[in-house]
Amino acid sequence: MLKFVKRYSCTFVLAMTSVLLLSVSSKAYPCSSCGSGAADPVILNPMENQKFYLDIAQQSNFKDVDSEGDVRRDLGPEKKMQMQMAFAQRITERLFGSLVSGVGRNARGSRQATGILDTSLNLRYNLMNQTMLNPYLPQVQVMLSHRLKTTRSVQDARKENYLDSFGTGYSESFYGVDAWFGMLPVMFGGSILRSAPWAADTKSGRLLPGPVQKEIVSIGFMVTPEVKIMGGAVRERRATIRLNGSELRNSDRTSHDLYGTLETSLLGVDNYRVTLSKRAAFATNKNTTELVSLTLAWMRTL
Amino acid sequence: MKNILGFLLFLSLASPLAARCRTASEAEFKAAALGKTRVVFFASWCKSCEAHLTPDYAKDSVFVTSYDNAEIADEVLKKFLAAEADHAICIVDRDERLAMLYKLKFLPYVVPI
Repeated sequence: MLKFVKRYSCTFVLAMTSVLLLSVSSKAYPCSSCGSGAADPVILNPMENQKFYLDIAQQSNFKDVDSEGDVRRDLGPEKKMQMQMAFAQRITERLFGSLVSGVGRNARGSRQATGILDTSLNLRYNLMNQTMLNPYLPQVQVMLSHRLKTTRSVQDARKENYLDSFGTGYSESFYGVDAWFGMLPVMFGGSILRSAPWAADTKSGRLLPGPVQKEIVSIGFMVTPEVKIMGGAVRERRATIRLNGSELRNSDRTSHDLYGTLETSLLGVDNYRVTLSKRAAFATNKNTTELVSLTLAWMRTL
Repeated sequence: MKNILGFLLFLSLASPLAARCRTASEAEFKAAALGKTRVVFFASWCKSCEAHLTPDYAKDSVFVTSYDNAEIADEVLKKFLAAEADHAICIVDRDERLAMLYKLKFLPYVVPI
């Protein structure tokens, strides 16, 4: 029991913090987010106070990209299925938070394993709202999030082909800014996210991943008043890993990803989103995994 | 008799509702809507609402915003309705009662009345 409490104490603290934050809700006012979509999975639009989110994702076509940028056969799972759940809550007119977690299933051939995914708590604060009074002024949001290590990583996998690995193996805090020009006929925006990873004890020793920087650029337009189409690119660069205090040479990572998404935007009812993305899709990539991901999401405004 | 009462109520409310957006009860809204042909739901952050915020629409429409405060809604109408903004009827649906009444699903939302 004590072991269980110790293991899940951080999750408990996160959950309790969320409950406290969620208990001080207020009426929504614009414009909280139209978002560039590639960071938090759930965004509260101006007229929304609470939202439940559920998605099912399938990842396939895994290929390793080595430190020279060469694509090789992947030794991990051939297919990953994930179900993510999230709850978003408006805290003030300008601030909302979301709690995200889920379960996953990894498969290779006839073998498979199921486990819990890492949990994350995300906050977004609207520094600047957008209105049609001045369409050239963007919406600017500050993002803060913490992903909590709740599950086994590749470093600690016990099953062959890392089938029981469902997380990164370390906790990581993110901060960033998101600008979105959503009042123009063609909407566009960008965001920059940086991280502060937390050291973690693994089988090989004390691991401290380098901080990551993500740059996301997105473009989109409304196909009809109810349907939005968006696409974009993500560049993710992670600095060198430190193991037991020493730098692991050539362990920095780079990935250039692409994504496209189709989303309904009805008020106060169910909405749906389909996202197709490809990791390590273009340019030079390093120490990453090439994969294709298809996500179907359902969102209910409460 | 009912129509006459409605018209009198409209006369008493039309003036304060015009020019400046303000909150109104459902009864006040119904009175203000007499003689109009459509309700136009809009919001300051709804880019595609622009198409329905034109001087031509001002005379026949009741403009309703469920997600803005009165000051922003005023500014939006002044910008897009120009001189007609002074005669336009604008209601701030603060408790989203009208949004529920008309089953508002997306913006812009235009309902013939």
